[in-house]
Amino acid sequence: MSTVWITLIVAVALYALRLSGFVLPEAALPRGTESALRFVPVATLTALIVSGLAARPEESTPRLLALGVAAAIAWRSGVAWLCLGCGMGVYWLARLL
Amino acid sequence: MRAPASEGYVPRRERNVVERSPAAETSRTRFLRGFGAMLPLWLGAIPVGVAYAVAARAAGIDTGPAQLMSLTVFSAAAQLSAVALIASGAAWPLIAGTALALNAQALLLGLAAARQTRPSLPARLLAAAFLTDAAYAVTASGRRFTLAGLLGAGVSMYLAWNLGTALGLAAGGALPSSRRLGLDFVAPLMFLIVLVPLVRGRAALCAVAVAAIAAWLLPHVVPAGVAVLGAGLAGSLAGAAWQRRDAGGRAAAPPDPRAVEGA
Repeated sequence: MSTVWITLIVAVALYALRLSGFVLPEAALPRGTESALRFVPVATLTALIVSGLAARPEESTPRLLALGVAAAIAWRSGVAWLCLGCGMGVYWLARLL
Repeated sequence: MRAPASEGYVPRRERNVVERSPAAETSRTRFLRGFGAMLPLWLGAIPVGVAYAVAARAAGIDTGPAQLMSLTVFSAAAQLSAVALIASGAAWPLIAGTALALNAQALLLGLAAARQTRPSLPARLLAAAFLTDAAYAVTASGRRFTLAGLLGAGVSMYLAWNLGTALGLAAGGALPSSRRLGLDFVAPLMFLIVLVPLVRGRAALCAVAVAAIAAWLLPHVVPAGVAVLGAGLAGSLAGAAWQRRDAGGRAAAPPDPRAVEGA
């Protein structure tokens, strides 16, 4: 399937999700669900990072190093471009060594 | 795009208040205040938009579809995961499922916003299109939570996001071979940058740990895209279980305004 079709499907799905909170009655969401929903993005982001690492085993050392540095900077400063710049910098350096 | 703060989106109840009290602010003022409150976050959103564009080009996606994705999907995490999954040849249900999982919180934000503003149906339809974590957080940290303010913040972020994407795509042609530069690493780095501000409290840490272990083990038994969704599900259930176990569970913190667009 073409990238454009996939894009449109994802767009419609996300719009439906964003709209669902605005149109659903409050009672529609049981308490337990609400608690689990908060952790879905956290867990999915983690899974994406780990699966990205697992997919490129030959590069795992420079990538782990760079992720560690970027995580530390994100924790301390939260400035996205700084984390990204330092992360890529460490990654390129570690690949050269 | 229609003028988002026109009278049509103001609930009747509020409209009367505006008419009676000349000091009361119009929804136009609220929209503009929301728009302005988001401006400092442009500094974070534009580089992320550039990074998304670079990741999309590295995944072999053309300029047009890459910009179309920013115009229609409008979520950093969903778009970065989509380009990574498209590059790995994943099927569309997995790509859509991952995008939904990454934005699961939008459901809660929409519920909270609707509860506080009780908007008309057209207002709901419009506000939903521009709803992100960052817009919600900026609006919630203001003096009063209004739908016009939320919309202003959302539209502001939408412009920044698409501007960043366009800049990244324009600069993309100047970059040497993305494979040699390892530019596909931009996507996991961005996931990490979105993730870190979200990890607060032991329950979130538990979700991260379980998701990481599951994402490491699952690809041995199921396809990669399924493994990501499965690990995400396992992690979120573990986080929720931990929170329930914690005596009463402290009230969850509101979204962090520092968080970059659309986590």
